[in-house]
Amino acid sequence: MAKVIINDIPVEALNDASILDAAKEVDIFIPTLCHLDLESFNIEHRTGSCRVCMVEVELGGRSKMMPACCTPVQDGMKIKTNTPEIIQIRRTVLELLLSDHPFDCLICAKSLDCELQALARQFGIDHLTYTGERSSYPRDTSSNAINRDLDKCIMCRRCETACNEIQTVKVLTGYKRGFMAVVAPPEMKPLNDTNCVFCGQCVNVCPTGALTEINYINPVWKAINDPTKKVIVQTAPAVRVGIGEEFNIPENESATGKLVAGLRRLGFDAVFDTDFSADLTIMEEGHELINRINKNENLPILTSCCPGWVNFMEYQFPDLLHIPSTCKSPQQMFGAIAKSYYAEKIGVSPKDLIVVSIMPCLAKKYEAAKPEFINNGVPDVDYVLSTRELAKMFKEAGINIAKLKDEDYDNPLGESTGAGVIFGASGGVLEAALRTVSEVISKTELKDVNFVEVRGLEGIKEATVKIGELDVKVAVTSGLGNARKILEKIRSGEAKYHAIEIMACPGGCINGGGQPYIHGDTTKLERRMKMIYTEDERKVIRKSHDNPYIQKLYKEFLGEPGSKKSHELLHTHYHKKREK
Amino acid sequence: MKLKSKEDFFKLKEETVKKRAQDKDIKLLIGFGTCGIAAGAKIIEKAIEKGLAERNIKNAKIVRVGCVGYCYAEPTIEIVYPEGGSVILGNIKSENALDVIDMHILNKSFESQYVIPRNFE
Amino acid sequence: MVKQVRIALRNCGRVNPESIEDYINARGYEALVTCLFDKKPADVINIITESGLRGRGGGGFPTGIKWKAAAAEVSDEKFIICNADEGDPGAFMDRAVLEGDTHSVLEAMTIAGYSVGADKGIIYIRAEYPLAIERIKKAIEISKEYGFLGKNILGTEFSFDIELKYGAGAFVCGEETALIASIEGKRGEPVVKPPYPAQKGLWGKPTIVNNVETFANICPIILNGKDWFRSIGTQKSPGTKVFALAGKINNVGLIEIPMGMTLRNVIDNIGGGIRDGKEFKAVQTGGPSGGCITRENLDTPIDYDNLLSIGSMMGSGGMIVMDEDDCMVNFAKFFLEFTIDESCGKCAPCRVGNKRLLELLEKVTNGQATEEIIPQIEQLCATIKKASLCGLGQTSPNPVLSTLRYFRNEYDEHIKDKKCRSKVCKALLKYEIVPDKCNGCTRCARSCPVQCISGKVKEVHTIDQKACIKCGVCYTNCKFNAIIVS
Ligand SMILES: Cc1cc2nc3c(=O)[nH]c(=O)nc-3n(C[C@H](O)[C@H](O)[C@H](O)COP(=O)(O)O)c2cc1C
Ligand code: SF4
Ligand code: SF4
Ligand code: SF4
Ligand code: SF4
Ligand code: SF4
Ligand code: SF4
Repeated sequence: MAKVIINDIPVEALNDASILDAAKEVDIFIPTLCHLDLESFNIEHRTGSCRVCMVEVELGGRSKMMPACCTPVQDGMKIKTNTPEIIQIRRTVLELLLSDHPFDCLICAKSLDCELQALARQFGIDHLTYTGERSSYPRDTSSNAINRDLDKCIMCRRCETACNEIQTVKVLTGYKRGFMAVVAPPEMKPLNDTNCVFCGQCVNVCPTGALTEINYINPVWKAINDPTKKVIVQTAPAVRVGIGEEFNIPENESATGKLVAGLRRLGFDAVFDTDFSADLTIMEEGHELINRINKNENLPILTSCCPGWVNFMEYQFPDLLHIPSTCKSPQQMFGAIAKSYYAEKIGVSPKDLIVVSIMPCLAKKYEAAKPEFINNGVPDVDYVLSTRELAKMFKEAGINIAKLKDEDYDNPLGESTGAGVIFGASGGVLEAALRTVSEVISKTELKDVNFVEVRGLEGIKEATVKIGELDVKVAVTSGLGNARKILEKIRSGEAKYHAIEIMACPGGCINGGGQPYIHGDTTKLERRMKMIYTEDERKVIRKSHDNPYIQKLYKEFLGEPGSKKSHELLHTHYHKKREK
Repeated sequence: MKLKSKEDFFKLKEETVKKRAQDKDIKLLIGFGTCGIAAGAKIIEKAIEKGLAERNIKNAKIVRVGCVGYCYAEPTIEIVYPEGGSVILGNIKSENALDVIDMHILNKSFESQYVIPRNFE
Repeated sequence: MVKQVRIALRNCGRVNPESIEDYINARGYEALVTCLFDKKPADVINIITESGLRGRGGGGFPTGIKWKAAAAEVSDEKFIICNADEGDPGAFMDRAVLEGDTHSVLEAMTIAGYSVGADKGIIYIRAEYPLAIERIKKAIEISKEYGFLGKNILGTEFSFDIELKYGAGAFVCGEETALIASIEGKRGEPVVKPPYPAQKGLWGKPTIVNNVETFANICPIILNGKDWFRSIGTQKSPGTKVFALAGKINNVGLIEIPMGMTLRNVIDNIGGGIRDGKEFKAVQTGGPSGGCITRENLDTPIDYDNLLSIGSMMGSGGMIVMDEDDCMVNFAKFFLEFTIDESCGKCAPCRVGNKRLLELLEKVTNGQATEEIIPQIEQLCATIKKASLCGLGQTSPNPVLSTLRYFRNEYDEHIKDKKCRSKVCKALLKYEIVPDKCNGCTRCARSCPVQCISGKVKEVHTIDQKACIKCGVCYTNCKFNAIIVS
């Protein structure tokens, strides 16, 4: 323990605690900007680059300005956090940042969700003492997922930590020097020409409007307004536990029914659920797993429902492309079924049926536009909106979903089980698969459908599950850095598993690149996760193979899991991607 | 010739010092640092070599040394006499080579228009 | 007569750097042998500590204390880094040492390795020093042949190897944490200290970073003792310092002077006085991080603390002499431009602040400034100094602050009178034709690139002030001295 004095208040703090944390203990709040503490993941980004958290530290008779976020406390320190001089320095630093920033708040996607703007407000900045040339860069809209407007970059470097350290994709780096310095892919390449997997984790942590999603709100409005089109919508599992945050729906209240009601008010012709196709995924992937276990070949099987992860694998582990499940993601399965089975059922030509997805994810935007998911010019999924974009549409349309009465999803593609909804949290896909696979293999009903060993926000979870005679070894990872660790062990033969669930985003889709911003408050993720399992418990049916509409779909259309038709519609193949 | 002990080292050192002490040649130390070379040290070296041959001088040897610090007067030559003493010459051009040899090697003069002040011990 | 004292440069110009025999003849490797066979590591560190040697790379941190800190760390691996990035404009002290006395740096690094328990040394050198690189490579090779480097040095248990790493010439890569990042293959950017490299340096291991000249002092201290070293220089700054003397002085070049020598002696005696008999104005030390020293401080003894107290700093050894033709505002601008080019851009005060500061100075030199600009400049300087992450930003306002302190009148003239007394700031110049002297030869009118001079042949010419771009062509072309600048 170190004894320090902060603004005349004695504080005892752990030896490696930062001044910032020690001050919090006594309710002294020091402003920060670049600092980001993702506590639930044990990841702290502290480059000390913005210099907004400067405090005065006196030690051994010498006094110096130090950044509170990355200076560890030391016994005997006397710290001042708010002298007029400190405040003047902080304000000047902030004004300097603003002087090199476009005054675009009125027309900025990040407005009111922007940490720079919030800080300017907190400091009551109403004019700039220093003005001059501003750094400017070409906007990068090369991909269909991520919009980079580096004029708004404040060099906090959080995106680098997200991409390089958490995800280990390593496409972002400091580029150029001095006044022109900015964070970008090497040589300022457009994101689309890099190994970026579009997980959107960089977007999630960016404090400003420098990184945002590519927005498809307008084309969706147009489609809804087009009388020649039938427009249906699917909502991913994690969307329902995120959207409520945008409308102040109380923390423990389910937003699902309100989400459905809101979507109907927006004018969608039918409101369906990706949870339905999640159940379908379990049928197909479960079938694959059982086959492989029975033949004891090509194990482990890796889940394939996360396009961020699939991208990562195609770039970085091309030698392992034979082990993931060949199942499409639930989003793409939904699109494929909608444009075949459902289109046929309602008598609409696939080209006149528009499928919109609401996703917690930016990689899904990229996925929907992949050539393999487009048939004769008709994509299986036409537009992908993030949770954040949907919230904007609601607001624009004057719909406050908090005020709406709960409504149910439409049928036949809206009925789902508890197994489908838990896809939204890390561990969910595997748990859902275990629920089905164990019943199919052991031919007895599970006493307890909850596999709690695979739940939680930890990056790597392992469990051994008894199915009949067999000890099934499973692992769950989220965050691509963790995925890399497991994959390297598989490559070397060091690790032996039967099945592994991999999600690109730490914690799974609840923390997807398209979810409402959490600004470093990871308790929000814990809440989202809890809500996912609450939704599961509320469901009467909690196993995918018990979903009556899934059973009907096989009976009427697909035959059985793994059938030829299933393979045509629901499975895909992977390509080695050249490292760029 | 790997040295394996303290004794090895001092033996080598003694031999080296003795050998050097016996060397009675006049030394021409030419500044071969980056700046000296840029100022033409290589050309001067050639000219001096040629001049020494022309005058048939056998008791003078050129040594390439690092920068002495007289940037304002590069290229420089320091002439060190075996009996003690030395002069530093600056701003040497190749056409001065014979002149320098005559004045400072044959006549061992301590003065000429080439001499620059030495400002360190 | 005041003379230089050569410790770091003791062998430069005396030995053939490519001859290990020359070096041994000049007491080379004797210090290493003494340490390995007669002294414990802690003894060596004590000698260095008590000698009072301070880092010559700019900061002046006591070398012995740094070594002690690294020696105290428990680690399976430690590193000795020689900082040969030398990025100050006009500086070449380190290059001279590495080119002229290559072995002495290798020997000192090996002694450092022995003292702190490191078996690996790295020389981080700018790639623009090919000759030094070549000589170091040769010296490493031959030292290994002799057994001064490599496994079981001179038959002892101690092993030490040295390898080279090349810097791409970014000034900030000379900052020790940026240098370490660069060796690790990362972007050359400083990181927040603490932890210091001596605790967590290269690859997270305890690491000593010392400047070339610091290393060049080690062997003489071991051989001649701490008391000898302390007898040179001043109480708080023993020893000597190498400077690269440049600017408006007769004898530009490399000098090594005992600490405590006055600037007056440096300029008048060693430097041979101001060039062309002009009036002395100031001396700048410390490169882009330093400040200027004026006539009133000419008799201040030069050492780390004195230079700091008069608003400059020792820096790595740049020393630029200025005369009456130098404009001090423009001069501050020059260094700021350097800083802006060399800033890594990591932290906001340096990245944006220095740019804004330069823009303010440009206003001054362009004649667009009003009086409230001075407090703005001062506040900005204070913020940049206090809030920047690394030494580059923390010292970058020094040239501005120091010229403001000593040459406030020149700033005022620029701001209020719109005049540059040294006639350097173009925008403030005025070219005029003196009617009495003009005989109407038309030469100026014909040479003016914007044709703003009018007048008939054999009649007095006039310059249209609004159109004049202050190129000065007419001034140089007039053969009758009829054009004056003010
Ligand atoms: C911007 C910047 C540039 C620096 N460049 C150099 C350099 O070129 N050479 C050097 O030895 N030290 C340089 N330093 C100082 C180093 O960070 C470090 O303090 C020094 O190498 C320590 O060695 P010393 O104690 O022997 O001086 C620089 C520091 C800063 C802030
Ligand atoms: S990034 Fe933030 S501060 Fe910048 S324009 Fe957008 S909302 Fe405003
Ligand atoms: S989307 Fe993911 S992979 Fe792409 S740059 Fe951002 S963090 Fe990196
Ligand atoms: S792009 Fe965003 S997250 Fe990345 S450095 Fe810039 S402001 Fe920070
Ligand atoms: S974890 Fe979910 S949100 Fe993240 S990339 Fe994968 S599918 Fe998208
Ligand atoms: S002070 Fe300048 S050089 Fe140093 S870290 Fe900050 S931006 Fe980089
Ligand atoms: S060049 Fe001189 S003398 Fe000739 S016209 Fe111009 S000012 Fe007059």
